Amino acid sequence: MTTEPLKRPALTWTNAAVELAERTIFSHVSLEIEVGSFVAVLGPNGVGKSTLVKTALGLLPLAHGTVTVFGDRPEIARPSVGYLPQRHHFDAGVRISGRDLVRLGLDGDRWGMPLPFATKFSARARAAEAQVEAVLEQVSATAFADRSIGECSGGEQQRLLIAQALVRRPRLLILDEPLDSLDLPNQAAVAELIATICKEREVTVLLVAHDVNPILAHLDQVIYLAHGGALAGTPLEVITSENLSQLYDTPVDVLTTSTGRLVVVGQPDAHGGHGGRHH
Amino acid sequence: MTTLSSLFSSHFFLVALLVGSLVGIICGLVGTVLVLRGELFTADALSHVAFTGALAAFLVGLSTGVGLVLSCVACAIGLQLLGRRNASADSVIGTTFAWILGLGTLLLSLSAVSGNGASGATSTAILFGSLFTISTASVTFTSLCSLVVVVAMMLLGRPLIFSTLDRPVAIAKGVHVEALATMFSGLVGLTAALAVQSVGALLLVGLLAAPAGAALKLTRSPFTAMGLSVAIAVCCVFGGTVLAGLSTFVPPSAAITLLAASTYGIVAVFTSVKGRHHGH
Repeated sequence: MTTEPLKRPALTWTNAAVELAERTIFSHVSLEIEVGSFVAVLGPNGVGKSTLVKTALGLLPLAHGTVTVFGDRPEIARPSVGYLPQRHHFDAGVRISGRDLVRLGLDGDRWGMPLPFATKFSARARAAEAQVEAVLEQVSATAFADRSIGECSGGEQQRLLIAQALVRRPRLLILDEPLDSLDLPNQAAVAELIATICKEREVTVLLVAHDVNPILAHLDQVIYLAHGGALAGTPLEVITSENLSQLYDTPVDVLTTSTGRLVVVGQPDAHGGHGGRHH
Repeated sequence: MTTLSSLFSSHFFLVALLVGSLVGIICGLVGTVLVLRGELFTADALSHVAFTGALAAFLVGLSTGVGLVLSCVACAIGLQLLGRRNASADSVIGTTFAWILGLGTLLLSLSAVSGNGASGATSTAILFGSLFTISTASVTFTSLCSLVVVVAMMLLGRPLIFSTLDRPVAIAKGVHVEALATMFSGLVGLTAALAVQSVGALLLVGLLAAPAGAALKLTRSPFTAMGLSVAIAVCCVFGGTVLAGLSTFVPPSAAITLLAASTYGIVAVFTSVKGRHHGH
């Protein structure tokens, strides 16, 4: 029992294990994430990165151990968590504007129907509209928010989805591969945006990524999942050639640029599977 | 030649307008969500069930309205539960519905053999609708059931649209997407049963698809689309019923679906021309 709520971590896993279809995805995972930190979950394909964050959302049960979000069970903490699921994109035919999609993030789980001209007679409807407007501005999505979500580019969709995850002013943001399928300039811009939200709004960010490079400069902590367990620490502690080579079972080099930035070279999966990158 | 004024003073015509408009309202509401969910095929399947269910009810001596509602609601919910269990339920569903339609034709021939002459008229009414021969009892029944559908759609609307367009996020926000889908299936079944009475089993899909499809081309907001779709459906039913009433040989179901299809066609051409203008 802690007497100082400020020191309470945003997220903890204690001796956590997940089994899916009688296969152990990971076990003996004990992690602690501080409030306000920007944390990446990294690792090879299929090690359970998405599974790990889903346990924090209360979407998957643990076979052993416990997970807490702001000291509570994940189901209880749900209102203070914003979530962007993996490979979440919309086909060209989906007929809803970005603005309406963000609005569903705010009140889509409430019974009822939005009534026409609600802003004319309801203060709550006006407040909700203002809240959507503010979050669209925060992610610089105002210009394309009235377009159909399916007609927006990958980068625009990702900004709108981040706005949707942010609209309830969550204290924890869980983003599952938000940079996937974006080109390099967009990866950098979205990573920058997430880092800004994390620092300025004191939102804890847990981000699942394939490729550590676009976010590396912003990270406070990294969690590497591999071989059924986890390795966590600051980027400088964890991201070393030996650690990564062991995790990925293949030689991986960690280089330091002339400006002191770390660059990971040879990490499998990082560039595989999706084209359209600009150099 | 029937005049408009004599038409509007006849009882059967006003009943047809009332029931038709109610069916237009619920088809417009439910159709929009069906189109967004890509589940229009469910409605097509239900039209097979409707035929068999109504004939079975007729043979057992129940009212066809009750038979329609029971069979359609049960099948709609059954389909949804089956699809949830098994991602490749297509073949099971296809087989089941072929079997149900086969059962329907068996019931039809059974009733013909037993010398029940009314079954031919009943099956025609079920297949093509019977808006001009609705009994007072079924007016009350249709009104009550329509009210259930409208109130339920008003309550479920927002979480239903959320879980339709953005399922993973809705699940993470604690929306009970499966329970919602089951409740919506029940409403689809009820709507199909009521629509069969007016436009008939064969044309049911048209009244669910055309107004909703047109509305979704006209607006980006799913909720505005629901309202627009209701307006288009009611206008089509109204116009079709008047046309059929004025003519001596056009059945209401033909006029209604013709209007609905033309509305969709006009909107599709209009939006694609407009879209091309914006593109350049």
